[in-house]
Amino acid sequence: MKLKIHKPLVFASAVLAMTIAPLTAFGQSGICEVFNEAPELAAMVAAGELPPIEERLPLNPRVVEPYDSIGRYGGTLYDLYDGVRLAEFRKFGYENLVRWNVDGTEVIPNIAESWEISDDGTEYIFHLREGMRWSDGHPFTADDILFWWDEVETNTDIYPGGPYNYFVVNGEPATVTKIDDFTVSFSWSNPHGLFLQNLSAAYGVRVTQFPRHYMEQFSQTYNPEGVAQMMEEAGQTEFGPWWISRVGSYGQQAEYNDPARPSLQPWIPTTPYIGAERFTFVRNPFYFKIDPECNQLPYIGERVFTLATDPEIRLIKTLDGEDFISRSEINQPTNRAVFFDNQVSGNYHFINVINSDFNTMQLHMLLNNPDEAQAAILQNRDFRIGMSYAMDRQTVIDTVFIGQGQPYQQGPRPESPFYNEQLATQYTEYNVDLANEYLDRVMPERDAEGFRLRPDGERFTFTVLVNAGFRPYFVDILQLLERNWEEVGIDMVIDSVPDDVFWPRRQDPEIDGFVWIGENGSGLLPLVGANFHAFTPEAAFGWIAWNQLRLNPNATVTTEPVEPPESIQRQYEILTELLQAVGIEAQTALMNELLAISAEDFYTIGLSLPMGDYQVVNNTLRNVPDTVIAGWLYPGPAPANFETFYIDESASS
Amino acid sequence: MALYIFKRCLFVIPTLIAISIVSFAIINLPPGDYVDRLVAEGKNRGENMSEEQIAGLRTVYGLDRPITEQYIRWISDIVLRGDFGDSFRWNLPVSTLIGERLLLTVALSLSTLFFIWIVAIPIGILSAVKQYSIWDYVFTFIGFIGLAIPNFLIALALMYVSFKYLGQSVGGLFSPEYLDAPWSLEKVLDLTSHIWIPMVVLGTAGTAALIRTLRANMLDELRRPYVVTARAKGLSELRLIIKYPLRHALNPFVSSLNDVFVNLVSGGTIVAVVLGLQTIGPLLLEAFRGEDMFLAGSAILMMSMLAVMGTLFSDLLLAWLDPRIRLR
Amino acid sequence: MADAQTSTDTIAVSPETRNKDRGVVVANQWKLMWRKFRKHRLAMIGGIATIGLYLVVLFVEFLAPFPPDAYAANFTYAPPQTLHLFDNTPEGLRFQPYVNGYIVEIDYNAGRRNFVIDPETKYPVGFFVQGEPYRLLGLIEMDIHLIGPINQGDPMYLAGADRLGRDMLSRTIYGTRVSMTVGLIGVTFSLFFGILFGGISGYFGGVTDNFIQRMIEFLQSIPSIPLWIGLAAAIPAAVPPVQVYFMITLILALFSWTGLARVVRGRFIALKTEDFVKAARIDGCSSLRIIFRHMVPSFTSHIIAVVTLAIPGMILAETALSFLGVGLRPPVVSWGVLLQEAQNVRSLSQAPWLFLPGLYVVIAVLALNFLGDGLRDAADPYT
Repeated sequence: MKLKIHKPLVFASAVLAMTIAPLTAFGQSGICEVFNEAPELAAMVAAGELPPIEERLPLNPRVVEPYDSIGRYGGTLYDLYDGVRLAEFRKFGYENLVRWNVDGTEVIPNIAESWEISDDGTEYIFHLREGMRWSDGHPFTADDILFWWDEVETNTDIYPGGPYNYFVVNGEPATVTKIDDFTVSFSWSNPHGLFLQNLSAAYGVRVTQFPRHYMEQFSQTYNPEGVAQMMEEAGQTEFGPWWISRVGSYGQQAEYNDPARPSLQPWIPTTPYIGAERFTFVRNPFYFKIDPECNQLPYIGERVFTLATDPEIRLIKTLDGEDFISRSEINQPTNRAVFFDNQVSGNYHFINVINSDFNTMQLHMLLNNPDEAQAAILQNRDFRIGMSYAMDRQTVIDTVFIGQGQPYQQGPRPESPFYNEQLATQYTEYNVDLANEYLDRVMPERDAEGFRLRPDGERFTFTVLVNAGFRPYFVDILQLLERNWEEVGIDMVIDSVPDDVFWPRRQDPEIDGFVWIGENGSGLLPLVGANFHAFTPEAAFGWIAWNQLRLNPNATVTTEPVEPPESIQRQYEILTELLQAVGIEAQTALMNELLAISAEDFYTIGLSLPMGDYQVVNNTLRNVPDTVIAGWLYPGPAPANFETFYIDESASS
Repeated sequence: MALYIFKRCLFVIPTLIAISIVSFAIINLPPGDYVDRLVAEGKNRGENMSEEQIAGLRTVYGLDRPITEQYIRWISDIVLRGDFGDSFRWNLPVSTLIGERLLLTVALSLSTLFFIWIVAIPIGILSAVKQYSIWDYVFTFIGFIGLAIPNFLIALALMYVSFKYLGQSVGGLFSPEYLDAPWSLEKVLDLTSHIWIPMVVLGTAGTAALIRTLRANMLDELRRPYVVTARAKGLSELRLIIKYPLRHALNPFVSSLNDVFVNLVSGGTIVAVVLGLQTIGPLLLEAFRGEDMFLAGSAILMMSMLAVMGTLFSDLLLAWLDPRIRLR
Repeated sequence: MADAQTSTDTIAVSPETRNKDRGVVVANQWKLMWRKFRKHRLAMIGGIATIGLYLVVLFVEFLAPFPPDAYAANFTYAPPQTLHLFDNTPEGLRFQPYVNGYIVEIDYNAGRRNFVIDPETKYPVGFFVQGEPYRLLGLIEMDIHLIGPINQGDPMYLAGADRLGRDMLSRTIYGTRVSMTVGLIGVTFSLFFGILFGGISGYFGGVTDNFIQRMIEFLQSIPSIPLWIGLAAAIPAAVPPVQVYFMITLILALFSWTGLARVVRGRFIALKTEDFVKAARIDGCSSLRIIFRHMVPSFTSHIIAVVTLAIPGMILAETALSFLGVGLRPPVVSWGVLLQEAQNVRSLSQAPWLFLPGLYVVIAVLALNFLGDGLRDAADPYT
């Protein structure tokens, strides 16, 4: 197999207004004559409790350029903990093999110092950092990654459904092999064109979470008696649940709960935190990153988390200055005024947040409604155009978002290389006459109250399902749109349900559509998001089932498969090709074709482009960029390098 | 008396069994289970689980078994091993989660009860003795207002005031620096400086109700002939009141105590949610929302047990005060 | 809600202890009651307020200036205006109600609209003005509203606006309908259970009585709110709002009938030996007939008093459940829903007028309590 040396994936894109990208680490080993470390670590070295800094860092440490200035050691970063996830992934724990750069345009090295991809895209080889160590000083090697793959990811007691789909191509899990102590290869018989981007997202963390030397004691392969004994002590009979509660992988409560578990993160726990109301993480003395002046990171000595389960309590605590970087569910547009008024007493300031979402709310139609008369209307493009023209988007933006945002239909954000103007802007004008004209083509007849009738003479009711808990403004917006649509004779019913009911209920026959945000629209993220049906009809469950059977005739589907129109069939083919396309040129061509079909078919109605988001940051906290990105696959603000933040007490206003 | 205590305690057992069944039935009422919840949360984040993965999770959590089997497993673990099961969400034994919160719930309920007594008894007597005086009207009015304002509104207002003007760290019963500290005198003092808000909020309604009961009972007693006789004999007014009518008037007062206690335990839920207190209530609400059934069931069981114990205590107290009850 | 429960239970004890009246002729009884009731000043006020509130329930559409969902993008969180009744016209001071307009500017940094009352602009306000069409009592088509801007479309926010620029006065008035009837319907349910079980218990006595009494003790000994939360959470989210409403009332009734049942039982035990009951039994009347035809009417007045005192508990309970987010849900408008929407730091610090429904809750609960107290005293003419 011919391997080619990696060239950084830089793409000509409308780059966000962010100036500093971290330096890549190539060829930097040996740039430092002397390394500096935190005073308390130096004291420990002097006392013989810790090896000297040179032995703790890898031969080629990762060099991170701070946003603003070289920091100073010490201080405490305060956080709130909602009791569900540790501070949320976005604020803690982004140490993957590879990662997104600050502005989300490029995948850059992190734990892996470099990588190679075979020409056909079937093999990825990662080079690890020699001399890199876990937080207990034990070397980090390829064996740790193999342990994760063999004992965790492919362990059906833990993951009954097999490895996460990032590691699977056409139903085939990756083959993970150790080439030498510092080289690991992932390969498939088919190409995997998006593996790097996938590894850079949230789920990539799990690859480097399992120190073999520590984890063997929790493995049924290596320590069956010990495991049986621990399970008995915990009163558990099944390995899976016991393992999840004792060890835990990414996103599970236990993942940072064991203070003895070695980690690669900048801060490590000092006590178990589950059930605790307040707990502290301290500096990892073996952390593998340095600043350009050869100071070992992180600057901040400890992070203190306080439990606050109620969102309003979290808001008040943030206003009180008890959370140094506000959480994403707290810095909602509605709270901006409260934050603004308490800036002085709370000792914080605003920073801008660029949302990687491309829409505040999208309406997905249930195109395969079992009621055929209803389905025929929903599948009629004129109906959707009419509905779109009837929406007074600007008024909604003015009311709900206080004027922040612009009418927007669908597709990658304007600054993304995949932006499609037609898809983004068509039919967004508010025009009641045009709306009536289009709707008249579908349902000309109206009843005594002025509501449109279906061809069979029944009143057409349009039931929209909404997850009231996910975004509080969804129900508000729908209540405004209800009036818009009433104006053009559409009888709309809002079905507002909580989170857990929402997902199963989406497929109910009485539902005609549901709303959700449009996610992963910035930078290269649409590539990764496309596979989640971001640009194909998300609520065409019959078509999606048909596609599942096309990919795997033995798959179990929960919905009656319906053969989609040709354009959609082509889109499904593109999605398959996209996963296996290697190189940005091929990927861009496919994305453009996919989006052109979306624009032509116009299945999804969008509302507005999110703008004017914010976060509040404590005034003493330095090196936080003025602008950060928020999102899911791009786990903002974590890529903004928390390890380079430092506390400057003199900066309190 | 011993027989009465025995019979009364015996009655607690079927009550507890019934409560455990009701608790378990209720936690199973909501549609869907914890796995549905996990799937939904995953989808909120863009994760998709396959049918096999979902079925696998259900086996992992034991949710694929029949409901009666689930109940028997749950209750026998509690009775035989004191094991309340694990919280799905927290991945912790329920007993660990509830333990400290139970202590705080009891502490809050008891201190509120004392607060109610200290405030209600003198005011109730005063209102009755000085019937139709300005004080009577003022306290009756305040009492009614206390009954009428929803607890959570008072809580919200006090919370905001304490944030805005007192500069106290809100949410919870402790200042942040004591949260992870071991118990010490300072921590107890810190607790007392925080507990007054929930105490006042929770206490208003109970106080108002008790003032009204006590006043009505005192008025009934004060009209009785023996009071007139005693007064005619020249007993001082204070001794007269304390010696006879008050003792009689306290009887129904004690019997209504169990209602007050039950209400403190249950009404505390809302106040605790608003104020972010680490009592059982908010945990329960979260558990219900998250389909975390063992946690929810055990929390209901615990709160009901608290209430049942409170009732038992007040019944025994009543029996001790009033011999007639023992013979019933 | 904790509060009102207590009050119901308190009453459940006391009439039992002093139930001394025997078979009074019905007409006389009502007359005696009325005479006694009239003397009770607070009860009269409470009664009038209660009647007023239920009139509001009937004529919501007429009383509210706007529909509850009428939004206005430019007036999100607009503060309340003062209603000026008299205006300086060229002919001097005349009765010409008006409100002042707002000067609105958007402050993007603060993420809000800033409102200043503009003394220069005056929007004339009238009584019995034309507005949104509606059906009065669901029957009569009308478009006259008690109060409203004379020129439709002029901003009038006598009680301020919420986050979507909806008129809080109108929303609170609409909320009255749901909240006040929740109490009424809930009490009807609990009345049914109460009379049924209390009646059976008191009438048959013995084992049946013992069983029902233990059941009541059991229900009273478990804390209601956790159970309410559990039951309310169990309502399938798919059911339409109207059904949610009825289920909530049923859930509330499930725990509140016990107090009523005890009162009824006490009365039954007292009445069982009365001559007219014996006579009916000898006549061969069925048990059900004796209970509902002969015994129930003889203590209706007591029941009315107890029922009146149970309503506020229901109102508070609905408010609390909705507040916790497990009760009614928008777009249903109830006081609890409105308060739930206002339960956030933003409203507390920026828009305190959103707590207006809280005031209504207090008024309703007070009025019903006063009324119930008066009725209870009056129903016992011998004390």
